[in-house]
Amino acid sequence: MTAPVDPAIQAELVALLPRLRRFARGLAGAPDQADDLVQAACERALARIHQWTPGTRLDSWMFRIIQTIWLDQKRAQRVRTGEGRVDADSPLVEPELTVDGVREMDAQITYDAVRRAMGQLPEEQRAVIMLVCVEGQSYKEAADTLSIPIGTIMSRLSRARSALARLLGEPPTEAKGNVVRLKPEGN
Amino acid sequence: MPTTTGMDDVMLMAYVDGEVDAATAREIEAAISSDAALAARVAMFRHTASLMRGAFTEILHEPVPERLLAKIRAAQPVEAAARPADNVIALPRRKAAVANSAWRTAAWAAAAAISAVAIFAAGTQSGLVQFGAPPPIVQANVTPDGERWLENLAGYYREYRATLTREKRILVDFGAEHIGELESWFSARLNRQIAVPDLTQFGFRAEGGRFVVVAGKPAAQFLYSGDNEELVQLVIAISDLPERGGRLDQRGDVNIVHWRENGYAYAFVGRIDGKQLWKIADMTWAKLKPA
Repeated sequence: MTAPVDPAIQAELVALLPRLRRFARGLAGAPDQADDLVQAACERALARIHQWTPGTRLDSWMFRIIQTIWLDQKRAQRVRTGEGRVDADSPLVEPELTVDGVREMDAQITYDAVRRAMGQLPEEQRAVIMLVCVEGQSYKEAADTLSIPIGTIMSRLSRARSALARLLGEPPTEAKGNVVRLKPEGN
Repeated sequence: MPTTTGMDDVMLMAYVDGEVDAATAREIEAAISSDAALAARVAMFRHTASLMRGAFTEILHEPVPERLLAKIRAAQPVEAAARPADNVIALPRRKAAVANSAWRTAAWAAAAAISAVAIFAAGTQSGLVQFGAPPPIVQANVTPDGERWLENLAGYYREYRATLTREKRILVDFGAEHIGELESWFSARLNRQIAVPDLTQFGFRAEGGRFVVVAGKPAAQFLYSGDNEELVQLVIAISDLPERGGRLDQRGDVNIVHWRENGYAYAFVGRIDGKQLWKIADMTWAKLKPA
C-alpha cells in the first residue's frame, strides 16, 4: 500500500470520489457499506496502480474494482450463510412489492424508493444499470468496464429496468388491463 | 420479449438509450406510433433511466468523507520529496487570472505533466474539497455523440470572445437591462422557468442572452463578462440524453463544465481556470434546476 503513486493519479482519484461513492451506493445501498467498498477499492487500486494503463479510463477501472470487490463480498457472504451461487441472469425472483406503498403514480415514486428498489435487483444487474443510466456510459463502454459481452449488458439492463418499474409499481402499459405482458423476462 | 411487430424489449431499450442507428430508430418510431403497448414499454425504459439518474444525483454533491480522502493521500507520492510543500498550499487562493497563467506555465510543479490535475491536487491537499472535488480534465480524442455540442459551445465562445476583444461589446438578443424579458422569453422556449443566475460573487456580470440551437433544439446562452475582457457563457439546452454529473472538459484553451439533469443539458464555458469554472458551476447548479 505504500508503493509510490503519481500525484496526478492521486488527484484524479480524489476527483473521482464522488462518482465512485455514487456507483458503490448503487451496488451496496447503505451509505457506510458503500463507502467501505470505495475505501477497499482505493486501497486495491493504489496497491496495484501499475496494472492500470495510462491513457485508459481511470473511472472505468475503478468501477470495475468496486464491482469485483462487491461481488467477492457477496459470494463470501453466500458461502457463509450456505446459500448457493445465484446466477446473475437467472430471472429475478419475484420480490414482494413492499416499497412502502409507493405504487400508484409517477409523482409518488420517490427517489428514495428507487434506491431501495435497487437493493432488490440481482447484484450483477446493479452495476450495469448504474453505468449506463447513471454514469451515462454507452453499452460498449459498460461492456468494456465490466469485461462482459455487450449482449449481456443489454439483457441485464433490460431486465433491471423492467424489474425496477415493476418494483416501483409503475403502470406497466398505458393500455389498461395489460399487466401480464410485463412479466416474462427471459427471451 | 418478442412482440407481434418483432420489436423486443432490448431493441426498444436500445432505441431509448440512443444505441440504434437512424434507420432502426425510424422503424421503431413507426412501430410505436401504432402500438400503445410498445409505446408504453418505451416510456417505461425512458422513465426508469430518468428515475435512476434522479435518485443518484444528490450524492455527487455530498461532502466526501475524510477517511476516503485520507486513504488516497496516504499513498506516498512519487515525487513528494522533490516538491516543496509551500507551493501546494498557496495556489488555490490565487485569483482566477493568476491561476490561469500558472495553469499554462506550471513551472512550479515539477510533477505536473498535467498541470490542471496538479492544481486540483493542491486544492485537495489544502482541504478545499467541499462540494465534490473537481474532476480531471478530459482531453477527448474522440467526442461521444452526446457530447458533440461541446465543440459548438467552444466555437460560440471563441467567436464571442473575439468580438468582445475586437469591438469591446457583446452581441446579444437581450441586453442586461432586459433580464426579466429575457427570462420569460427563454422560459417559454425551453418549457421551464429560467432565471439568469447571478455570478457577481465570482466577478462576472450578466451581459444578456442569446437564442441558440443545440442538437436541433432551442437553447439559451447567457453571457457574463469579467475583468480583462474575460467572458463566461452559460448554456441551457433541452436534452433527452441520460443524466450525468458534472464534468470538466477542455476544447483548445476553452474549459467547459457540463452536466445533464432532468431533461436539460447545462454548460459553463470560459477560458478562466477550470477549477474556478467548476466552482461557479458547483455553486450554481442547484439554482438552475427547473422549479
